[in-house]
Amino acid sequence: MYRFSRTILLALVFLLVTAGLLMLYSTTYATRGTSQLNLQLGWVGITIVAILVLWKTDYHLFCKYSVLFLCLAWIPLAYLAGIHFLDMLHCPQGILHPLAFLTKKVNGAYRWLELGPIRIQPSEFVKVCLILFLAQYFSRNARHITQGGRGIWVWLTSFRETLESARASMRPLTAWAFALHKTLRHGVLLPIAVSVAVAGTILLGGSLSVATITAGVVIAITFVAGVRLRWFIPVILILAVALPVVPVTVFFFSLPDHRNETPAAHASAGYGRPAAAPLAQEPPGTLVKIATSVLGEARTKRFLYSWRDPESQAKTVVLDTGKKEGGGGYQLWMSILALGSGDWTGLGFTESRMKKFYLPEAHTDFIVAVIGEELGLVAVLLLIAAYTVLVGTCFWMATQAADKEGVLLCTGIGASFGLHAFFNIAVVSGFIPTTGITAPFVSYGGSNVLASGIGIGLLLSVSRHAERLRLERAAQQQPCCVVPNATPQRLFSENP
Amino acid sequence: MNQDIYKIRLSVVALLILLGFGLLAARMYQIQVLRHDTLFAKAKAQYTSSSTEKGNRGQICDIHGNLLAGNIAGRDIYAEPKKLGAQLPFVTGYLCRKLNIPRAEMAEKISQAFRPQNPRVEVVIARGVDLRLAEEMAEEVAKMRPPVRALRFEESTRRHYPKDSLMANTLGFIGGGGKGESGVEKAFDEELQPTTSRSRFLIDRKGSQIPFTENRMTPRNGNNVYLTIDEVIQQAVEEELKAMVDKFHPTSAYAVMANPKTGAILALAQIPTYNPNDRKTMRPDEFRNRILEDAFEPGSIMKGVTITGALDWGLVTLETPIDCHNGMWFYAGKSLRDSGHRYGTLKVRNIVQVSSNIGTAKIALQLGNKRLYDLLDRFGFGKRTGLSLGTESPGIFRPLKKWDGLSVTRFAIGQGIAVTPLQMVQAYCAIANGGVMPQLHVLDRIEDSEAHTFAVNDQRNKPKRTVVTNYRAITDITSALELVTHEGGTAPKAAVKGYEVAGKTGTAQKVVGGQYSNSAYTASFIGFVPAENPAFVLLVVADEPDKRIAYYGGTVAAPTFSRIAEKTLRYMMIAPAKPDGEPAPGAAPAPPPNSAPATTVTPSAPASSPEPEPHADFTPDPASVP
Repeated sequence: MYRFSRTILLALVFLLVTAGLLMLYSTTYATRGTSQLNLQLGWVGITIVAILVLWKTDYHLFCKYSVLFLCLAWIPLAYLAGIHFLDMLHCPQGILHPLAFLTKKVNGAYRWLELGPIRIQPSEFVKVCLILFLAQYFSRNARHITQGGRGIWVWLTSFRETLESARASMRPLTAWAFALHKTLRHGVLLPIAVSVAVAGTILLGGSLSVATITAGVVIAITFVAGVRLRWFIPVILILAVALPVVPVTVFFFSLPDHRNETPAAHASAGYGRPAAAPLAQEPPGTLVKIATSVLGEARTKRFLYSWRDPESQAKTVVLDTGKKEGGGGYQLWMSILALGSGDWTGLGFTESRMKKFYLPEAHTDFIVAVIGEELGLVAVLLLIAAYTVLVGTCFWMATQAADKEGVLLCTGIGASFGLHAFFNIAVVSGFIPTTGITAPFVSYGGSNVLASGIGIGLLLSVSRHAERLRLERAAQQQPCCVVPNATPQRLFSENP
Repeated sequence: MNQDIYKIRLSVVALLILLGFGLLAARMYQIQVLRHDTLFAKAKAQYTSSSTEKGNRGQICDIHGNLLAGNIAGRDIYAEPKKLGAQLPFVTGYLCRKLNIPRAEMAEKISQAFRPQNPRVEVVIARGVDLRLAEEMAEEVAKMRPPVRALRFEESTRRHYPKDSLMANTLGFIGGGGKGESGVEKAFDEELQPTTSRSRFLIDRKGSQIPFTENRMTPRNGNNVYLTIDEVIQQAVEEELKAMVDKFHPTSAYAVMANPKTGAILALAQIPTYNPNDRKTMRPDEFRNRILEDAFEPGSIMKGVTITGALDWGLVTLETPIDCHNGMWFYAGKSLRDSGHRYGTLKVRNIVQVSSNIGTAKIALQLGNKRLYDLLDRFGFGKRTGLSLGTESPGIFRPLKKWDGLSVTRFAIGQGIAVTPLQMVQAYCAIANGGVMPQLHVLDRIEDSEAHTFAVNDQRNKPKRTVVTNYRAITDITSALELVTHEGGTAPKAAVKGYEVAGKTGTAQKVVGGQYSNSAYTASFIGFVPAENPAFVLLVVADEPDKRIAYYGGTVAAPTFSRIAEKTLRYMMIAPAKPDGEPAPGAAPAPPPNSAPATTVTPSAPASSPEPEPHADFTPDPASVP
């Protein structure tokens, strides 16, 4: 059973990576040569080593030092976020430029550390570290999260008692810290605070989507860890308010409409490239103004356009291409065109047209669009199925895990894969606003492959540990009558 | 319960993710399959590009391949007015100055880019600009500061007629869209037109072509049209016609030469004409093809046909005496005169020689209405010759049931009937060709641009039309027509030294305001040389020559005929049938011993034997007025 789940996992990863490399070849060979394929092959090699090392290592080791890892991964992230923040504050280039020696602005944000030829996206690794930290924390400290009857008054009472007893032996400040630590360490506030800090840093670094995914992973881990449902009420409330608000904003307080402008009017005489035409100047609605002041003009536009009918929106944004090359609407429209060209079986391997500079980021965030164009709906459905099975296998491994740490680790990694895949395909198909999210294992990008590979290695480690533990137990007791699910039962009844 | 709670919660998360993936699958199905057709079409529009390539228009050549109409390299000039921006006034001013385009016209071209409906990004400034001028302009534009990038010089060709006005009316010209507007250019436009090939290929976003995606078609050049015209003869005819016009100042003049054996047109000349390379000076009255479109009252040249008919029927022989009533004959209450001449009894031979109206009319009376109608109908009058050169007039020839009592006497001498020059040439071709009328044609062959002849003139395969059955009639009328150019005939000036010329003069009064005018004449001469084995039939017509100088066919048209014939015979290397100055053995027994070719004509001197003219008291039928 353990072996079977591991085989499935590795087979899926192998398939996804192979498909990713083939598509990377198809997408980049004609336009960029083999340099990116080579780079990616190198990353895949590193990833294989990482998987093997992690597989054979006890994951408890990583959980134990997860705080250290989190801090180490957080430093570059905070560096990037700081640079981005300074840039947003219009920091003079004289100060900003020397500070940003390790990074470069790409698509309006500082997401990558530039270490020579290697580009690393710290947010990917921070996510893994955060999963490790949360798994470790919830399995060791969170005693109160599943228990009822502990209101704020109970906590206040316990806090006062602890504080008074501590004051006797400590200085006042230390006593406060001790009391806070003593009373809070078993609750949900501390992990949430850490998560918010990490997600906030990512958000500050200009990556709303990765922050969203991180938040989703945190919610999933917290949920599975058994946190009382009342803690999710605010989350549900926020979702309940936010989800309808966005479409309502778009459809009723709409943006200036450019549908009356026909693209034919701007067709150029020579090649059929869309000519640059000025955007019609109409006053935006009030909500749009508010959104613009909060989010900035580009983001608002991209966000709101993405919710509209892709075709009419394409008219508006394609006309704007001359101004804003690679803007969200244009990219999405090209992606939709690529997918729509595919039909059931696609145009054929390497036959994509949209990859010829039409679709920006065709080899990274939008590789699924190229897959859809070249190999059709069949391949896209297979890809979705592969991701579904991947997430299912992760969760299956969670049920097999030997302890709570393993369960939460598998859950977090599975949720991370699932959310990444979902967001990526949803962006490509115009289901949600366009943002930069990679498809795990398939998209080009070293950080993506390596971080995903670390996840796989941890999963394998969990599985290996659980198998070994069960074999040991079975050897201690009666080798022939193993009680199914014996290990997890024990783990979750640890609470005093 | 607590023990399994994590499994339940895990299942919830798994279900949520599964739901998300399900939504994605449905969305993908919607985009990729349901909207495939529209999206794929739009995607194709995004990356498909095409270019058109046009071949060259076919050339027009004479029978030996001498170029009559060809193409010359030039440049098309395009501009993108919106891109010009602030430079617009300066650049358009420059273009107007260089290309000699009026400001208003230029403004109209530029405004295409600014109109609200369907504006053009690029407008055509000029097509087929002279290569040297265009090169010079390109250089100057390149030197302009700030640089002008919105002007484009594109290679192109323009139609060129290397011989300028030679045969201009027949060749015609092409319109702005590259389509033939008149003449050969129009008649054979379908053959001359090149094919335009549209190549489709895919481009990447930067505009460069994606390899191996081109669906290319090579354009085909238009076919070359070879006419039966001989440029050398045409040149000679036009020169002589010009000399005639300079001398006698007719309002118009034309000459048609045809090979009687095949019906091939050897020359078609008309004055006034124009220079098709200089479009600005062309006027509609110049580029009209009068040979095809104008019908004229032929006058006496018709007598040859009438008498041929009478001979064919056996009603008369050359020796039959006809009483000519001393120059005044009354019939059906109208008088007919022999133009001041008082002929007594004339043999048929001499009626032809001196062109007696009365004699011919009386012979026609013997023929009668029916037979004369059949005769003229058989000779092709009133019907288009089918030269396939565009709009052709059928002339005016009344159907038999509309003939009145006078018709038979008047139509026989070429009055009240309007013929085109081509019809007349066709009729004399029949006489010259032993009674078999050839199909006139001007197209010799068509070759494609690789010089494969693939269509020859199918008019040659038309059934032969025998219009004279009695061969005796042909030899008789030929000998009678020979007399015309001998001394004592109406046109000794048409004679060619060393050759026997058979021909007939014509001097027709023109109808002006419903009356036969006494000042406006059509002077003509038609004949064939050598009489016994004709190489060509030639018609020379001068419309309204200056009466103060001369107006008889024998004085105006005959000398020109002689000179053209002489040059042509020499060019064709036709051996003289008789030694210089000697009459041909067995020729007509007419008196003229030395038919010296008239190389000089004194305008004021009266013709040695003035041709009788129809009397003015004959009122033409309104229906016959051309």
